[in-house]
Amino acid sequence: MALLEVKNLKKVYSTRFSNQQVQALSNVSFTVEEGEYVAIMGESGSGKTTLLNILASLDKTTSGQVLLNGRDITGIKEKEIAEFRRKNLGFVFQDFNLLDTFSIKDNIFLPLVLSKEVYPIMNQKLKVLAPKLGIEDLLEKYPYEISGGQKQRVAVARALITHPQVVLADEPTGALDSKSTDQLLEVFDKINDEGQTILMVTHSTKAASYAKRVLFIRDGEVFHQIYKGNQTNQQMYQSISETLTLLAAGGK
Amino acid sequence: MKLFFYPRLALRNIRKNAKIYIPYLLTSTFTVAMFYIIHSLSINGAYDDMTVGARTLPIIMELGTYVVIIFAIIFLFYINSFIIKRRKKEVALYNILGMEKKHIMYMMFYETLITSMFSLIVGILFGVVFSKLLFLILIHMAHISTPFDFVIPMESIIRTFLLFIAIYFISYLFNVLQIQLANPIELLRSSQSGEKEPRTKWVMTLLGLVTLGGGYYIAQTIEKPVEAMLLFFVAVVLVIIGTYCLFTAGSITLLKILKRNKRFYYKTRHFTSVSQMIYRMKQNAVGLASICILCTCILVMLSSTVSLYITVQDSTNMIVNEQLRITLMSSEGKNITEEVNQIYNKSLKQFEMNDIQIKTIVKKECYFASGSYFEKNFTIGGYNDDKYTGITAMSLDEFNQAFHQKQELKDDEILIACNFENIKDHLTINGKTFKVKSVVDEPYFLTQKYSNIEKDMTVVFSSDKTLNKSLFNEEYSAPTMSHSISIDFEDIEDSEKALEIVRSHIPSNMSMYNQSQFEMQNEYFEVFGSLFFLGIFLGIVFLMAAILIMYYKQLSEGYEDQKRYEIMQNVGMSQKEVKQSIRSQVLIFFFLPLIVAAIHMAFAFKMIVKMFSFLVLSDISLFVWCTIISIAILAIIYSIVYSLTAKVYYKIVKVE
Repeated sequence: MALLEVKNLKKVYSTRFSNQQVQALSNVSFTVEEGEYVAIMGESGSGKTTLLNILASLDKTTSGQVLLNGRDITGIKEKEIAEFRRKNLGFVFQDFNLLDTFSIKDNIFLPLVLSKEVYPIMNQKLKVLAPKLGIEDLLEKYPYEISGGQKQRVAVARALITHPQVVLADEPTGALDSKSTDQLLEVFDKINDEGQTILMVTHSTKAASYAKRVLFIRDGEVFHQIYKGNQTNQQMYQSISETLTLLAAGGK
Repeated sequence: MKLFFYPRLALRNIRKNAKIYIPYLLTSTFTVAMFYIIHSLSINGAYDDMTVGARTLPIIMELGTYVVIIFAIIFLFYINSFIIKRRKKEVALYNILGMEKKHIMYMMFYETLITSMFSLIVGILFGVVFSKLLFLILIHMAHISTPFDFVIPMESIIRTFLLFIAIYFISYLFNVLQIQLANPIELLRSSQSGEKEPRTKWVMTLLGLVTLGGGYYIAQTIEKPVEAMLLFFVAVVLVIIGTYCLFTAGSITLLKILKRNKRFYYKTRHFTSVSQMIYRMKQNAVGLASICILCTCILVMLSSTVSLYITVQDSTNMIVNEQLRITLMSSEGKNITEEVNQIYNKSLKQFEMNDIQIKTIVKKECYFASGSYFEKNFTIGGYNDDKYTGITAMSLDEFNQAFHQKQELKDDEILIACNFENIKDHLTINGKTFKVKSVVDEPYFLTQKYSNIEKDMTVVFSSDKTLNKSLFNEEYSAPTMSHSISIDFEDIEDSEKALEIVRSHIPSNMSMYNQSQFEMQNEYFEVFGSLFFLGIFLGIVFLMAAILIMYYKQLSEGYEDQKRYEIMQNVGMSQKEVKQSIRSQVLIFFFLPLIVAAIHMAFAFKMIVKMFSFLVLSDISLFVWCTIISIAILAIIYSIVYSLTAKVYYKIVKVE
């Protein structure tokens, strides 16, 4: 059984003051196996952010199902959503979303504290995780004292510390310089090698070229997908570029 | 169309920013109305008709006017600066979209014009309507009977206009300056760059603890009322310093200690609250401390004026036991017993003719002197210390006659009454020891029966000769005999008439001194009644200020926390947890000043009682109740505003 199964997902927005309806997702279906590293690409307005929000249970579907380990997450009650999200999903955002009132350490602890974990265990988890992400020296600092790349690695640590089933990343390299981007993508590679399932929405061909599989979305549908297989990052980059060109040209 | 462009734009801006403008308009209107009312009360022509003595009321109202002026200036400027801070971004947008600063100034001018005209006109209208009502309440509270003559004083309207137009204009200039100085990019960029976590300030925390402790200690240990008047200010200043230090440094120190306690800090309920409170305290401590002081002022003012007012009657009883006491003395040092008897008899007849019903009347001849008393030892002379005691002395004959008794005394025996100690067995007067035959408990025997400030005793000697020999000697000037007539009426209002009758019989070689409870009560009612009125009036004004500052603070906090709560919800904080976190923070924020104010009040209690015992406050348990009720009322109003504010705050930070 696949870890994540998306079936016939449809999302229609209706604006508040008119009857005009906007179809963000028309019919999206795909599956993600455990341990996969999937990138979702598409132009602005293609519906990829809507898709991620639905996967993150931040948004409701109009119709269709999203199964995580066989459980339909679209049917989870409002009350349980926060807990579900905390236990099963890890998030990495474009603009880091670190809280400036917390130290780095406390930012990483936040989801654990919300899950009522005791301090010694939290600390234990952090001790294992921090060296992998190269943030051991930052723990006592505050977000305003560290660079963007460091912030994003901290955000990754926060996403990973709950051992989520899936890490959802929304344009994780969007606010980073090229060097930080490389570092972050290597971190993603490494954690994926250790078995972490990652689902990433991105504009960046380079970021996508690190993924094992790339889904292309256009006009609210999965338009195409390519597997990395044995290709190097360079070759993968090439294939993605070609597909994007094709997509832009409007071919089928 | 161009003609109305800016006014229309201004009106739209105000409507769009209703969340901050509605409370502003309300407050500003309210402040205008309050100023108009207090000013019109202070200059009302109706007072001119009042009796000569009744001039304290306008003076007290005038005092209130000054307080309201100072308050209005500070308060309206504060809110204005808050509003302009919130609107900077919007103004910058206009600037970038092509409006010149000149145009923005026009726009803001019309905004100011609209809001200030609204506040002034509506405020004065409300003021006119309610000043009549409040005038009646004030007159009633001060027990003033005056031919009703209520006018709308033009002077008050003009003053109100001038004062508030000046305030609005200066705030407008301030806003223009702010806009002129800033460049649009700066204005647009919100100050989201992270702030440094505040440091623990041990020195200030310790200073706060020491000053607050010192203030409390002084308040607890003050014994003498006169001393209290002086030390009172020392204690107040210490407590104010302590409050500011503890709110600014102490709160952060405490939160940091909590944070260091890992088992406490890493709990879902404490985690976000503690870390956010550290930052909030850094920004708002001064405001909270000010509100705390303001609340304390309200409490002190309300509870003391209310209880002073309620106890006016007891207080006057404390000063004079009888409704009317007339003391007569010869201004030439002659014996005037005969004349006094004549006056007494004539007056009695006239009382009957004028239908003045008398409950009790006592006429007595006695000597007044003062000296020092210490451990059953009285020595005449010697003043200026806590042993100071007044003494009234009379002969047995006079006593028996005045009080219709048939007592007998040996030369070394006395009858006595004393208001500060129960002297039962013996008393030494100027070195000679007398045996106390009995303690007298007749009405008006003691001059100051209930006073807890002045020590007083009355002694009856076996004869005039013993009296003079024992009490007075050549070293002191010859004793003057005085005659006093104490009267209680069936109807206290007769005392004025009775006094007039007695006065008409007094010849020029006699001096008369009178104490009338009725007159005193009128005076006290006027003073305490108008103080009470002012206490409530200013209490309402201060309360409104405190609440509004809270509201605006929460609002600005809400905008700042919006992003934070969004992140937390993304990371997996539930709506319920968000609500809880908000509730606990807003709760602490709101009620911390009130709780601290209540603690201040508790410590100040003893001192205030002592201080007012000087101004005659007789019933302490009443004062306790007044205080408790004041706190309760404050807490109720606070709670209502708290729940409203928490709702607005939650709406701001809620993630759709």
